[in-house]
Amino acid sequence: MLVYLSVIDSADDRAKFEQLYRQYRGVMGGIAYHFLGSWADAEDIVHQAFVYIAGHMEKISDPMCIKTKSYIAIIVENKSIDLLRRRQRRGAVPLDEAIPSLAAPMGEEGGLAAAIARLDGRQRELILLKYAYGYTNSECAEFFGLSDSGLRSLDQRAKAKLRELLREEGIEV
Amino acid sequence: MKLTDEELSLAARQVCCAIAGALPDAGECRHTFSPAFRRKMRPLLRRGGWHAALRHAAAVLLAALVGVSA
Repeated sequence: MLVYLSVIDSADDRAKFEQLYRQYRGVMGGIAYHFLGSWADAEDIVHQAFVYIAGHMEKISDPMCIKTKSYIAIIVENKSIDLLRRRQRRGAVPLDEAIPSLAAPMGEEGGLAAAIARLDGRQRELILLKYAYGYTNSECAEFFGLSDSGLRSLDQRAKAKLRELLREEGIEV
Repeated sequence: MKLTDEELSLAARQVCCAIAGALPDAGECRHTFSPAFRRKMRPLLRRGGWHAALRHAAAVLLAALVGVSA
């Protein structure tokens, strides 16, 4: 509840937030449902995602642009996968069940973009937040709930995996 | 090829477009959210309304106080 007290101060941001709510809640629900298979869980995730967005309105320049749509999708994906992981740890979901990331069809295209698209959930989210949305390391650490060293480790793993995927395509890095 | 920030930034933006392109349009998602969800969202959506009203009231009160003391 405390989160609410410090967020959405300007009229501009409030208007943007309402637009996001009207425009994307259905899409967000659909994404969360795709991961979780339950509308009750999906609605919880959508709420959590909106709480996060409300605290980071500076990241939204134009609510209607493609960049915003994928940003919101990344947030919902992250929160859904986190919930699934917590359930896996509690034994409610089989541990060996792979959690697929959101589809990012790259067509015939190869190269770096295709390699990023093939990364698993957290690694891909980190690369996208850092390099498409300009997240700083501390913003990324907050997003993933990681310490600085935990984030560095995730960053190193993501880039090592990218190099591996590129090498598989015959691209030396 | 080097993994420079510029290369990563360009490629990451392409992936974001691919993700957004694969998502359904807003009109295609017809789930009716539960009353419990709408209740939980209310503080976020209404916060601005009464917050702004409170600020407006404070400004009027301050102006009145300044007027009285002048």
